[in-house]
Formats: sequence, structure tokens, C-alpha cells
Amino acid sequence: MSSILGTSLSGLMSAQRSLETTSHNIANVNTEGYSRQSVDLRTRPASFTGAGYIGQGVDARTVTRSYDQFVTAQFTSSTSVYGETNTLSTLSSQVDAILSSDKTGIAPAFNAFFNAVSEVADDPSSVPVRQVMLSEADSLAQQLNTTSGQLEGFRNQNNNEMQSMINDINSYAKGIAELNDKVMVETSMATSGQIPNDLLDQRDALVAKLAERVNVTTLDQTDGSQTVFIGNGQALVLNGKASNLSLASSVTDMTHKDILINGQKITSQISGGSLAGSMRFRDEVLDPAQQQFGLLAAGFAVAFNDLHKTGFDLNGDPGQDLFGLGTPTMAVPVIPNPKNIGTATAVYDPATVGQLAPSDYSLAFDGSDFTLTRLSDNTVSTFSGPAPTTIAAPGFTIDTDGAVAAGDSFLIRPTFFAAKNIQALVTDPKQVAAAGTGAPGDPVPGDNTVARGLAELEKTQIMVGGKSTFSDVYSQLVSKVGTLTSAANKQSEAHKVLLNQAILTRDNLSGVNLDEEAGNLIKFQNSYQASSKAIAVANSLFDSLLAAVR
Amino acid sequence: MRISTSWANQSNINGIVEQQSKLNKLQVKLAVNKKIVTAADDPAGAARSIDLNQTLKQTDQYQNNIIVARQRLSLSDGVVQNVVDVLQKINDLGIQGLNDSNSPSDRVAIAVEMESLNTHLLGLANTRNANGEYMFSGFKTDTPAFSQSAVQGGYDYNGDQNQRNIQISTDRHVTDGDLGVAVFGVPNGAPNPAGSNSNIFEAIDRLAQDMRNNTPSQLSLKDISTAFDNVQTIQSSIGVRLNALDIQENSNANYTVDMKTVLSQTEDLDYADAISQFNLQTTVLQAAQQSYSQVKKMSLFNYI
Repeated sequence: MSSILGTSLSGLMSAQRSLETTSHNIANVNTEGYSRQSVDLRTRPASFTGAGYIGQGVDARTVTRSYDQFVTAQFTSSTSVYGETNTLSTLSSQVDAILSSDKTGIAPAFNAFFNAVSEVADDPSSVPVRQVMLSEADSLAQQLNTTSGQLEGFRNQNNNEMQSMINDINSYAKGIAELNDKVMVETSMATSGQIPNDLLDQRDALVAKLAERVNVTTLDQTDGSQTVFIGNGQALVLNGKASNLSLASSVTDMTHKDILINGQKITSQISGGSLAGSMRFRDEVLDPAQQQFGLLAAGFAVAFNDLHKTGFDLNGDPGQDLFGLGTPTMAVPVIPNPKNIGTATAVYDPATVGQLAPSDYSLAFDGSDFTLTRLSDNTVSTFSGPAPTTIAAPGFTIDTDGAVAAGDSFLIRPTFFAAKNIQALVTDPKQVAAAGTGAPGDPVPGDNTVARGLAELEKTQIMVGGKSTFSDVYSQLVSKVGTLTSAANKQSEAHKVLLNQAILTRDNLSGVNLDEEAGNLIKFQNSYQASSKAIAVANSLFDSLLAAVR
Repeated sequence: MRISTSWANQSNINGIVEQQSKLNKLQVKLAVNKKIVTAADDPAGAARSIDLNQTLKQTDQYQNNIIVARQRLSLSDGVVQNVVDVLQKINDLGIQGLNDSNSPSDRVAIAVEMESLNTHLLGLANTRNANGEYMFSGFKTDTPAFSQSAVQGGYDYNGDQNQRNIQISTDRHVTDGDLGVAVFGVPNGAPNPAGSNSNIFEAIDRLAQDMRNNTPSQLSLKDISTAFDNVQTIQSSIGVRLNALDIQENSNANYTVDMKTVLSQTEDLDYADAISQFNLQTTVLQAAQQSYSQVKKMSLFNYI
């Protein structure tokens, strides 16, 4: 009879455990990363009697979570890939939108300017018409500045976002390390394979958040801890220790950030997640767009100035640079390595403006030869030293002074800053050099030869090796960004489907189904009631026995 | 297959959100009447649309240039017609004066009228256009084309030999006027004997002088007639150019229409197609919302 009571009590207790677990499941129906739990019931060892083995009831051995390592790994990697493509697509769409908009569009500004030049060709002696041309020149330069400023804004925003992603990654890594500590303690205390389910779920949720930012791989250790790797196997979390990620600026460009782990550069090894998306946006969309945009501004200013300077203005003086790209007017930005001994300068070369490429260049001196590398595709050309020397680069010439020593290097950016720096220099309408002839003090006001030539520049194929007009350079930029954005959008959509598939698979396994829990509730309630009934029966049996001996 | 409750909810919501975003994209396209809202919608089309817009704006500018050239040539045509009329008058006066029935005083009177007509002619040669430019001075539009030279009866040309061109299409341009020396002849700077004058003013001056001196020469009429032929050649050349402007203007207009058609095909929305898509999309969205509310009502908890 006592065994009836014991057996019934064990049933009562297990039903109670199961009911607790079921209500825990119901409570966590909307908890992110929660895996539904179930009580692992096991029959108690039977006691042997002459009549055979008599059952002793049930034990609630442990509580397990519905979890599959493969499914979770699939979810983690899908999260990373989607994070990357989604970030790339979101950021690219912004650039796509500003380049496509009619209001911010550069094409209308170019059209208006060249139409104004054409009006000067029609009426070369009219000062108001020249004034219109100068106003259009100014507004074109400002339009280029504005759009370049917007691109610059995206760069700053992207850098800030990368910093906040790095902060997130560091904080998640710390969280995982702390959970590792707790799990290791719990695991060491477990006597019969009990698992700290909720801690594991929390840790998995943090890994998933980490995966949104950067691609991670995980390895479960026997002590219950999880090692988390990023990049090419750099340990981000090892046992209870988290490494620190940080951003660092390049020596020649404050706005170009590299990613360091414990001080070691791992930029090129980062893949997946919004961090990789941000870096791909910078390297594949933003930088090329800014270079191409600068190519347009630089090529336009150089070619226009070159022809304008062959003309004569309304005072009979030779034409000046109408547009400036820096200080001095036609200087190419050269950023020296801080350790350099010598210096170098560069200016645009109108004769080779068609060879100007949308890229930065690096110039290095090894003591005898100069090496000029085009950074967009790493094309190398060599020029023999020693310094001082003049190097004819595509679209510009570089002058080095005699002090340049072995090991000196320079970053040359002919196109990167051009759209930011371009400005209209001439303010006196009389100084528009429309005439092809003239002498100081003896102007030829009706001469429109140079103005006509300037108006013709609009449809002259000057750029990209004499194959593209200015408008072509711009439409190439727009269609390139459009193509990249469209590809990123499609990829992002495709990976969203894959991610949803992974979430579906994981949630179908681990997620809570309320109907199922309702069924379980009834099932365990019934079993609780049945066990209670069995206790009542045991009680009445006992009462019968007592009554018999009274 | 068991479905987790939160995912069932989420996937429904995802579906609704996605349909809304598609609907929104369609709405934007309908609102701006463009199938290319950003370049990502059709990168090649966006590039083509930039090129076409540029060509259109440039062609618009050529049409403006044609208007400018037409104004100048029409003005020039009027001036040259005046020159023809004055020459006609002088020719008549010359014929009248050569008649021996004229007394010396009659001839002086004729000479006075001729001199006055010559001054008028000089005024015509120094006509300015709407911008205040001397029309017959070549590039030196700030200088009167002709003036009397230091030597009595001689004239100087103060312009240069360049003629302004105006672009009226990608590869076509017209001169917007004529040089003074082409219209009025090259001056010698000093009086010439009758019959050897290539410049109108010098020729008339010579005739008027001779008339005043009562010794008019038949040869002067030859000078006038040469000048007459010259001016008429210029007049017909102006006519040819004005005609060319009309032809080019038409051709530019046709080109613009063609380009606008291509541009419209490239970037304008096909409304019929877009509206039917829009209707389909709203139906899909409604269906997603309805199924969500239906499914949400179903739970075993309602029955226990």
C-alpha cells in the first residue's frame, strides 16, 4: 500500500513538473531564441518480489530543450549572409536614390551650364549672357560639391555605423563569455547530465545577434563553454574571455577604417554580417562612385580650363582657369606618408586628361626607381630615379624634390576629392574668354570661336581614352551604382527567403506551439488528477485495512 | 510538421509587410509616372534616359541658336534690301544726271541728293543689331564697319575678315551675317577714277564729285551696277541661309519628337499594366490580412 502511495506520488510529482514546464513554454511563446522544453520522464527501477517485478512509478529525470546543432548553425550562417546583403542593399539604395533624383541630379546642371556657354557663343559681346554662364558655372560646381558632400556624409555615417557594430560585437562577445562562465559552473555541478537550458538559449541568442553583425563559427567544448571564432579563425570568445575589436584609421586617410582584433589587422578576413556589408558598400559602391564622380569633375575642369585658356576675354586678355580643383588651382592632392623625408607635388595634365582613371595611386621610391601603382586594379608602372624627377602619370604629372629617399611613399588622389574641391573661379563676366583672337586692351568682342569650342565640349568624347563624353561618364556612374544596387537588392531578397527558411526550420523544431501546449496542459492535468485519484484509492485501502482490525 | 505559434504569426506579418512594400513601390511609380524611379529599377534604361535628356536639352539649345541666327539674318536681310533700294535710287539719279539736258546747277542738286543718300548708305553699313553690335564688322563688333578716310572721297573698312558661326545642329552651323567688305566692297582709302571703284561709298562719292564738277562719267554707272550685283548676291545668300535655318529647325523638331518618344518608352510608366498590377497587389494584400485575422481566431485555448 505504501508502494501505491509512493508510485502515485511520483506520478503526481512528474505531472506537476510537466505542468510547470508546459506553463514555462507558454510563458516564453514570444521569447526570442527560446527553445521549447520538455520533461524527460523515466520509469523507476522496479522492485523484485516473488511475484515478479513490481513497478515503482516514474521519475522526472531532467528537462531537455528541443535543439539541433545543425539547424542552429544553418540559422546562424543564414543570418550573417542576410545581414551582409541587406546592409549592402540598404546603403547602396541611398546612393542610388541621390544619383537618380532629377533634383539632385548632376546631368541637368551640366546641360544648363553648356546651354549657357552656347548662348555666349551666340552673343559673345553680351555681358548679361556671360553673367548667366558664370552663374551656371557656379551652380554646377556647387551641385558637384553638394553631391560629393552627400557621398562624404554616407562615408561618415558608414564609419559611425561600423563603430557601433564593433561596440555591439564587443558587448555580445562579453555577454557570451559571461554566460560561458555560468554554464561551466552549472555543468560542473550537474550530477546526471542536467542541462542549464535557459542559459544555453540566452547564449545562442547572443551568438545569433553576433551573426547579424559578423560571420561567426562556434565550437562546443566538453566543459559546456562555447568558443566563438570570427574571420579566419580568430577566437573572439574563448572560455570566459572575450577579445576586443576596434577600428583604426589608415595613416594616409583618416576616413578609411580598418578592423583590428587585439591590435591585429583583420579587415580583409571579415566576412558576413552587417559589418562586412558596410565594408563592401564602402569598397564596392561608395569609393568607386566617389572616384567616378571625381573623374567627371576633374576631367571636366581640366578640359574646360585648357580650352578656355586658349581664348581671349572682353578686355583682350588671355583666358584664365574658369574652374579650380585645389590650391594651387590645378594641383592634384598628394598625401605623404608621415615618415617621408622628401616631398612630392602633382598637377593635372590637360594633354593626357583622357587617360585619367577613377582611382587613387600610390607612389613609392626604393632608392633607385619609382613605382606608381593604380590602386583600383594594382597596375604597376616603374619610372627610373633618382629624385628629383618628373613623372608623367596618366592624366597628371608628379614632381618629386631631391630629398625623396628610399622608403618614401605618397598617396595620390587625382579623382577622389575633385568633386568636393571644384569651384568656379572667374566672377567678372568680362573675363569669360569667348574670343579666339585678341590683345590686351584690344579685345575682339564679336569673336565667338572659343565659346563655340567650349560649347562643343559637351558632346566631345574626351574622357576614358577619348571614348566618353562628360555625360557618358555620369551615366556610367549612375548605371554602375544602379546595377550594384539592383544586384544587392536581389541578393538580399534571395537571402531573406533562405533566412526565413532557416528560421522556419529552427522554430518548427524549437518554437512553442500553443495548441500543442494546450493539449499537453490537458494531458498532464489529467495525469495529475489520475495520480491524485490513485492516492485517494491508497488512502481508502488503508482505511479499509484499519477498519478490518478495529 | 509542427508550426511554432510565434513563427506562424511572424510569417503572416512578414507576408503582409512584403505585400505593402510592393504596393508602395507601385504607388510611387504611379505617382511620378515613371517606371524607373531610381537607377536600380533599370540601370541601362537610366543611363539611356540621361543620354536622351542631354541630347534633348542640346537640341533645344540648337533651336534657340536658330532663333538668334534668324533674328540676325532677318535684320541683315532688311538692311541689304534697303541698300538695294538706295542703290536703285542712285542709279536712277546717275542716269538722270548723265543726260546732257541737265544744267550744272541741276547736276549740283543731284550731287547733293547723292551725297545725302551715300551718308544714309554708310549709316546702313554701320547698323547695330539688338545687342548693339555693328553687324558688318566681322568679329570687331564694337567698331563701326566703315568710316571716311583721311583722304577726301576715300573710305576705310575697320572690321576684320572673320565671320561669326552659330551652331544649329550637331554638325551644322551658319554664319549669322556678312562682312562689310563682302556687302559694300573693299575700299581703296582714296578716290579712284570712275569705273575702277570696287567700294560702293567710294563709287558714289566719285559719281557725286563728278556730277558736282559737271563731268559725270558713264563709267560710274558700271561701278554702281557692279555694286548692285554684289549686294544682290549677298541678298540671295542670306535667303539661302534663312531657308536652311527653317529646314534645320524642322529637322531638329522632328528629331526632338523622335527622342521624346524613345525617352517615353524608356522611362514612362505603362499605366494600363501598372493599374492592373496595382489592383492585383491590393487584392493580394487584402487576402493576406483576411487570412491573418481568420487564423488568429483559431486556438485550442478557446475550448478549454
